[in-house]
Amino acid sequence: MERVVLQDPQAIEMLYDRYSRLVYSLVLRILREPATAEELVQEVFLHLWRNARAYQPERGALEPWLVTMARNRALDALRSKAAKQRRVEQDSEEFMLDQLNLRIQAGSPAASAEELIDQNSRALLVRQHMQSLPAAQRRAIEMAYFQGMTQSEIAEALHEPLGTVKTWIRAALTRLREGLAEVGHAM
Amino acid sequence: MPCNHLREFYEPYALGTLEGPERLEIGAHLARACAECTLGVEQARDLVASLAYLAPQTAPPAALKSKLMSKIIAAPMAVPQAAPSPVAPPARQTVVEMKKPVQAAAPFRWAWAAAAAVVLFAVLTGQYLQLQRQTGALREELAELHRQQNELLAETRTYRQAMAIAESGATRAITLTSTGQTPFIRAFWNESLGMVVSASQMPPPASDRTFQLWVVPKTGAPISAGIFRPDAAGRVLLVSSPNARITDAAALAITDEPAAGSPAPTTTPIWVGPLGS
Repeated sequence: MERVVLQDPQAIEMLYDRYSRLVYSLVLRILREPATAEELVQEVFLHLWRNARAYQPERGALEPWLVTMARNRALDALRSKAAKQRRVEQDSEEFMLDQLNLRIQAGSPAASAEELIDQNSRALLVRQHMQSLPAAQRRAIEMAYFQGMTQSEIAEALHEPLGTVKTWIRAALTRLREGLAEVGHAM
Repeated sequence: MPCNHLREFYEPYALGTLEGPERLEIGAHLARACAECTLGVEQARDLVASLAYLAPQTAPPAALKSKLMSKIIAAPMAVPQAAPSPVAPPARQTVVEMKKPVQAAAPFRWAWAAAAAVVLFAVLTGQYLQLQRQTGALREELAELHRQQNELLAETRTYRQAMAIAESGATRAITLTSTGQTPFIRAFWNESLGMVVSASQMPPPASDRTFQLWVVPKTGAPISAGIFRPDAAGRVLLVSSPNARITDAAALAITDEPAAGSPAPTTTPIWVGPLGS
């Protein structure tokens, strides 16, 4: 990060290699539109480049900072009327998109092996914990994280009492926190 | 609300699902730079960020990196709005060459000119009609966007006013409770800035009725502070401007009134909360 502050393009390139997969996957999952997702990934890394001095390492690691920025921007885009309309149309084409993603993945270069192992172990851990949750609880977390829905909106969509949804979300996050702490990914 | 009561809400707050008084409380603590809540929310934000790994992992297209790097090289950090690069090629200019007219025999020349005029007229008329249709559609879209923008601005103003009241050191937090109704309702009272009432899971009044908020002075009749109905999800965010008539408020109360509200309470209060000292 210090090298980014010093305007070293190679440094931002390294950060891109390390985090672009995670950031792109997240915004693509939220927006379901490869073209918009690509624009947003560029925005996020350009913002990082232009505002590197604003990043404070003592306030937390870079990855959550980047991910939070990307998620906020993607949810803002999703909330716009046009994006919502597109989403309704595209939800029904989810299977086709997944197939397209597989093709894109197959044809794209990967990050270095060490970086992928580190990210993959973390990804595996998060997925394992989420997989261990009952389907409805997992769905509630996904609706909150990827669609930016509030507890009331989730309760309405799932036809569950609000109190139940609150408990689910709290329990799922507590379980994830404890699971990550157990293997040294302290939060 | 003390920090230890808010700990369980840090994660839903970071996830963005938290609503109602707890959200306002955490927002107020963060605005006051409360060290415990700031740290708690930052840790919760890190945890929530790990949910990004739930997305199917997909590498971005290879071309994206070169697009980004070319923008980065052209956009130095110190200059957010990058000036055009001195080495960049100048904008392409369209040069219309005036060709020397071809000499033709006079009768043919007039026939060609007439035919060209007819074709040109047809093309321009078609384009004009198409532009008119597009303009109409754009006007409608613009009007809709203006409407949405006004709604968002009004909502933003309400939230800003609510946050200003909640964050002020002179604000008192009041809990309005009821024996028969759930849940409790939170209010933030500030003599100079006004009042915020926030609730979630609030049951709706009958379709021809409304809830009315009253400030009950130590002496004299209750003063109306506004009427409201919870939204479809049972949420309420009511912001009242300061009222110069209220100088000795003792309590807040909410009654069920006819749809247009009443000049004085006509039913027994459902929720009541003392202002305290």
